[in-house]
Amino acid sequence: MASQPSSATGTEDKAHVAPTVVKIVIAGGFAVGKTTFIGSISDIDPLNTEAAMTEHSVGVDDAGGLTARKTHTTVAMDFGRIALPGALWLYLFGTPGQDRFLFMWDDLVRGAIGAVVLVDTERLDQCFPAVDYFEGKGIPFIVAVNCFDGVARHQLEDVREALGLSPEVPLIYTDARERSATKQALIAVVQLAMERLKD
Amino acid sequence: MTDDFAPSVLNGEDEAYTVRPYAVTGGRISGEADGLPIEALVSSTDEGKSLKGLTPERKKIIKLAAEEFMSIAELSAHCKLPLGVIRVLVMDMADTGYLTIHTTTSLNSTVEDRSGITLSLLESVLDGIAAL
Repeated sequence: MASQPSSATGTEDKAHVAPTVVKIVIAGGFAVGKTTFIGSISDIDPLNTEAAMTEHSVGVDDAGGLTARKTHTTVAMDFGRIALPGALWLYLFGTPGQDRFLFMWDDLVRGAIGAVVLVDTERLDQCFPAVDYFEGKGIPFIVAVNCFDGVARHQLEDVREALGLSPEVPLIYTDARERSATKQALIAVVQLAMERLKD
Repeated sequence: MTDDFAPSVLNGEDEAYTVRPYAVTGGRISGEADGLPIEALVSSTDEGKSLKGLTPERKKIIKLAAEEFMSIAELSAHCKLPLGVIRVLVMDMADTGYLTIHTTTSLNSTVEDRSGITLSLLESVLDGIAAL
């Protein structure tokens, strides 16, 4: 049992204290630029991991027999990491693109500071599931309109209206390719989370 | 064990395949390991334990976590194994003293539980991002 793992398991290496870890979730529709966003600011090249959908139902016992046999559906997600001063590591996790994997978001979002919902104005509807999810769970989130060509084709207030966003949700332009722009988006999320705590 | 137990399944397939992800956990099925945050960091303990007899996956995890702190997600990416498998392996190797898990998120916390996100932590994060 390792419910409080640091203290319960093994000896802590005093000279090598683990960084404090925080995370921000990057959500949005398929191919909206989540991985580009993460890659623009991550210290490491974005990594890819996957979760298997049938993991609770499949196991192999000690005798080598399969306890169940099912087709595995895997869901890929990308993530990156940024080392901040003060032994802080910030992880950025991209959500799996398709709506049908919303059920695994709890695992991803648990303990997150907040989220950036990336929006492509050509496909506004793709971000509805993410917006609904974060609203429903009370997770601080901002909506960032990704301007691929650097030109804002939509007025932000038109986007706000189209998405039915309440006035409290910060809405900004971003460019997922630009480190300075993604940095501003991350700052906006953290500031929002701070405001929520002060309320 | 359930009625699904079917030892003949493995022998019944003609085609050769690489080890299935769920075989590498040695039968340990995720339970409490499910609660391990994907960002939880793992390090190898410096106890000089023998790695003899450990599976290649386990050795690889120990090696990776000896070089630097590794999150569950990073171990999953580097080992090319699903998160659920890494969680089970890591939890098991923490129990047996090979690894130390570092997390401030409790294993059974929910999405709505935001008690770990304090103002002072956010201030440090904000200052850190601003300084990038």
